[in-house]
Amino acid sequence: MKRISEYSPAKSYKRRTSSEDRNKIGNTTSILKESPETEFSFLDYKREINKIFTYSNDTNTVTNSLDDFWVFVKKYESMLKKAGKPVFSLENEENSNCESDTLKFSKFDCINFSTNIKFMDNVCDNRVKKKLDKKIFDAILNVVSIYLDFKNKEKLDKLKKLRQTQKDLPVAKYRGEIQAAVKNEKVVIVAGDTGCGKSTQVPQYLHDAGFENIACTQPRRIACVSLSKRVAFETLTQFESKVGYQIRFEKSKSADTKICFITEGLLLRQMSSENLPNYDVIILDEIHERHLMGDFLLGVLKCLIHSRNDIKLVLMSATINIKLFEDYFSAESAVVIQVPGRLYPIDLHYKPIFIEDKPTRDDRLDPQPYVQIMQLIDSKYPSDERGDLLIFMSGVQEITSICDAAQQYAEKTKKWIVLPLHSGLSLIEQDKVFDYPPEGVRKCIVSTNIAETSVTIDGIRFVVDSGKVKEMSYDSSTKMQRLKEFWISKASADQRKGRAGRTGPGVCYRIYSEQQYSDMEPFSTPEVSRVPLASLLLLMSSLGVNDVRRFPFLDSPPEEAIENALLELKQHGALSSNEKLTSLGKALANLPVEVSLAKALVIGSATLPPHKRDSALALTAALGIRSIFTTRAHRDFECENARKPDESDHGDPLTLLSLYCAWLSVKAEGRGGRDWCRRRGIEEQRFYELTKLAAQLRGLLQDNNLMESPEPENMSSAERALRHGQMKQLKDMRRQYKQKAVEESKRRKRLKVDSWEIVDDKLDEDNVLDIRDIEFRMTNDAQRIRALISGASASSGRDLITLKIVLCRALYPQVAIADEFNHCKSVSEQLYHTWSKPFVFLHPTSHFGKHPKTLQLTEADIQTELPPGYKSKLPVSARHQLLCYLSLLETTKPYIVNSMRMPAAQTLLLLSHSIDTNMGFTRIVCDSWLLLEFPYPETGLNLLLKAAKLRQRWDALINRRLADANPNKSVETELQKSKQTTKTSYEQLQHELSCDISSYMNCDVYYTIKRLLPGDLKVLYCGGEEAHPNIDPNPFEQGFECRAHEKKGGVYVTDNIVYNCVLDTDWSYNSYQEIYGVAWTCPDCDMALCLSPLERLQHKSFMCSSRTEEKKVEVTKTPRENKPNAKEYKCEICNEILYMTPVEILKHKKNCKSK
Amino acid sequence: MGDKKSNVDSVEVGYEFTCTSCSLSEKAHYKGTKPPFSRNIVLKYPSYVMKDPFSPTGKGEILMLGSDCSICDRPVCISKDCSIFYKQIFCLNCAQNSIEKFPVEIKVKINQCKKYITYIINLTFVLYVVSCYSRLIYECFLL
Repeated sequence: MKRISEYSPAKSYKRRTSSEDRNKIGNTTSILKESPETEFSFLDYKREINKIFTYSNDTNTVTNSLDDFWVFVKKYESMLKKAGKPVFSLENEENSNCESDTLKFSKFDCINFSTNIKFMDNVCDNRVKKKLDKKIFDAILNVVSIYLDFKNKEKLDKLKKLRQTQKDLPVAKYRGEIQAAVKNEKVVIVAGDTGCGKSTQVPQYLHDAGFENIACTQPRRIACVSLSKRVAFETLTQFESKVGYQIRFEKSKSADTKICFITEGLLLRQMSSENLPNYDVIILDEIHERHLMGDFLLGVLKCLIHSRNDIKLVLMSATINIKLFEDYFSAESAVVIQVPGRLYPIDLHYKPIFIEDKPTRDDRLDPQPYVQIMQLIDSKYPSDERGDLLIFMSGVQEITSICDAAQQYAEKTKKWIVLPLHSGLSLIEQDKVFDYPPEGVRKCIVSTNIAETSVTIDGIRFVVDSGKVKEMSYDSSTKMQRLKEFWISKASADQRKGRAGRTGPGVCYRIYSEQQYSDMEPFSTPEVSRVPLASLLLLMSSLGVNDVRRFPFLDSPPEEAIENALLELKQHGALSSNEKLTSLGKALANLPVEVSLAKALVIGSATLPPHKRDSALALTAALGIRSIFTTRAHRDFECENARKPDESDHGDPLTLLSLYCAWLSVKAEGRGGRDWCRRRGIEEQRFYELTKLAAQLRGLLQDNNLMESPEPENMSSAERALRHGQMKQLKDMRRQYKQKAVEESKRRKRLKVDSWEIVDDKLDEDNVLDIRDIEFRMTNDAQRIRALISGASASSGRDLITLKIVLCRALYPQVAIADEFNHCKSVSEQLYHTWSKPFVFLHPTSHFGKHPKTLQLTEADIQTELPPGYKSKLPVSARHQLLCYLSLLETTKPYIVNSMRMPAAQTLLLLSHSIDTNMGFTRIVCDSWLLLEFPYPETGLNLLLKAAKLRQRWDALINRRLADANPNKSVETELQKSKQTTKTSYEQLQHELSCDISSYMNCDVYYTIKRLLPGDLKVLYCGGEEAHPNIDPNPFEQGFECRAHEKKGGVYVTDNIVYNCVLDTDWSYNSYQEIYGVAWTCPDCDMALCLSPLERLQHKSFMCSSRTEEKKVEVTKTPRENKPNAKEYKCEICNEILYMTPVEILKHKKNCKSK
Repeated sequence: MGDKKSNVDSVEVGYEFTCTSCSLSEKAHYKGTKPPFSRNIVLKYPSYVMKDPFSPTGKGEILMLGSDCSICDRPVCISKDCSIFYKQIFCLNCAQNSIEKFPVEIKVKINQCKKYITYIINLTFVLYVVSCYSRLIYECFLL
């Protein structure tokens, strides 16, 4: 759980005592100065006493904190002086001698502690004026006892206070009940509102009840860390590892960890990795939030507890919709334990805005009602009564406009500090909401629904609820995410209201009517119905869920969404056509990023040469994390300018990559980086995350054998020594930082009234140690950073092209084509069409959104001299471009996000799932969406042939990589395919492939490109009635057996290419006839014949008498022998002896018979 | 020298310490006068000691929780609401009962625990009332 505030009692307690101490010390020092020097003081012997203590060679409370001890001595002496008692007198000794006299009182008898540090005489030297003798030393030992006693009492009070707060929690009363229920039942639901203490206490109760390996899931990473710290403190094991956490990039878990806080996603991955740690209880916390992973985890665990009797399940939720969970686990007869929350009464006011009240009629948000509430609070509640205001708004824009208005009011009254809170802010800015305002000033926090559950701010007394929320929804048919404003649900309205009553009675104002409240949905839509499901379904398949449609979801997502997600997975090749997990799918499921990004990684690691793989890793990681840009990045002109040198005109993904490389080189030079990032409007934290994610992905790829493990680094001894010294220094710095952080947490920061100005805190930030920088430098030495830079940079040439096509292949079919009228429209009106959704815009912050000209053809690009007979309104050019994009997002308009430009025809022919052509290869249709027309004869054919060959080689390479990754699955067909390639080394194949790809991508071919509309598609194909003769031999794919396409007509020549199904136009028919008519001379054998384009191809690859023949034979023969289940077979019909697999034998028989 | 041995002991042997007055319940690592975690610190009266949970392990810092009352032998924590220390530990109840044996300063201290005293007064009052009633009930019963 996130309650940072809940932990403050201990902190505030600490703070109080230390400040008291400081006051006392202040007093004592002033007294000491006044007192005559002649008086006795232990302080005069400090040097010698310290010496003896340190020589005593023991660690205890005194020797650990000598400074603190002397402060205490000072205070003690001054207290004695005040009381008029001598600091040192011989009386002490007398007392200790006459123990029999019980009525004679000595205060030292009231102390249980004593020390037996031996007095040593030899330490004295002549420099000291006053000599320490045994008597004085004994006296100081008495003081030591008093000090020990004092410290002990302090600690005991701390302990008692801790136990008291634990006892006061509402959940404490249910301790026995919870323990008994978990012991006796399989599923227990603990329902209690925020503040009842369930998240911190229940794991402890279960541990006390004898459970040894407790997993407790949390939806948020930060909650895992803070909860594990808190629970460790409460179980008095903060310096042991009994309580630990495990999140995506870090863990603090060891063999003796009994309670482990873990994120939901990570627990799921643990389950998929088939070595689920031996948990005896799994606690799912915050299940009412209905996160995707949480919901799924519930389903998985519901299945798990049927097969495993030794696992108990505890579900914890707020008191929202408990019925749902109870019903879901009704078969397991779940026990529900309800814990009342600790909520103070809240005054509720409805303050709807009436339409006639609106000053203007436009849709803009009117901040007046919100400011009026601030005025109301000022007039109604005296300013010496504490209590802050929390305003819930739907989105960043709304927050900004409210903040501006509130700020104006605050400047007038000087009674408010206005703070925005949303996830787009930098972490430092976010943390400000936890600081304290000065006396008589209230905080006004304007927040998104992040403050509803994720962030808990203490001291909120007033809540203003706008009743709106911006939520992401997902349209699975167009693969578009939508960010739209909705009315909130009753449950979240109540949750928002509840935020006012956490520390005392509060007030909630709702900017809507009671009627509107009763019209609200009872519960918010669970995430599972709002997000893309592809990753989830893939994870499910990898977990062994056979039929995802029958998975027991808590709330089933729409059927259509599941079907579309399955289709997407099939398109990516992660699932086979009968919905079985392929080896690619298996590899993808292991990577904790989106499916398409995971695919980019797998393809990248197969395709890219080893030294360039970091580029794919960094690129994927950059696209996998949240946006690196702060809100300022696109508003501030200076930021934009500063970023300009690193901006890539190939598109946003490559800009990200080059920014990352630039940051790395800043780091390599040791120039900090924080300032560099601030100047560019970048959140540096994201880069650290990127680095961590990339490292994690690399580790996963290596674990799955998709990438070679690195060779051990060879450093020279000098380098090693240098690094060693560096590490030592860094560790020191980290220790320093931690100490500082502890000190800082003792005194909470106080806000200044004008603290919303960011200007003044810039200066002192620079001197502060940056822990992330330190940790970054600890894990990455200079050499490593240099390797990262050289690996990640792909600025030009072959590397860039290969990287782009790798990403594009992974993202396909997410490509967009420009509207034909874009050249006569303004920058903001540029329209694009994607395969799934026509009419989308470029996001204004994207590179092409700002520079759409890069995507348009120039006059020079357009070919004007066309072959005779060809007429088209469309421009003929070799420079048509496509946009390949990461995602679609609808806010005010549908936008393309994270786009990258690609040469059109080359990309389409290489990546399209289905390519249809006419007889003469002049009209080629890609994915029944885009029509390419090649006016010059043979250009289309050549390009398509090149593409088909490249695709085969590329597929083979990837399949070989995947097959090598899991060698035990040798029976699979993919492996057989991969074995066909002769065993040349990966590197050579990769090198050849990337050379060929880059020359292919760069070749100049003139064509037109047209988007086909549904009307066009009806008259495009010749249809299935006309039977087409088989193409034999097949020049596109050796040995591929052609089959007819039922609907379109024509025949498959490869899995992706259908030949002769596109109807000819007059022009293309003429050109075909023309080609047929003219004699063609083979460039290799100089034979002149009248051949159609296909026949020419066949001649070239099969008939031609030159050396190609031999090669082909070699290629066709060798692989057959390699097949594991192939055997010698003599065909009775054609009398040939062949090496074939049983399947191939059957095929062959059939063929022979039909002949 | 003997440290290591006692250290091992302390790991194996734990004491469930529960204060009979405030019901503070903790696991103590050691009971006695010479806590093994810290050589130079000795206790005058055998007490329940745990390694200080608020400071890193191995620093030798200890937390003394309490001792068994020297009169009634029931465990009691060192909080001033529960016990008083004068050469030995006394739970407040026993201290009250044998208050005359203490020097004046301690008597004052014992009396200062107003909370405790009011509690005692209440208790005696209740006891008195109960005894009265019981006599009454008894008499009624007899009749």
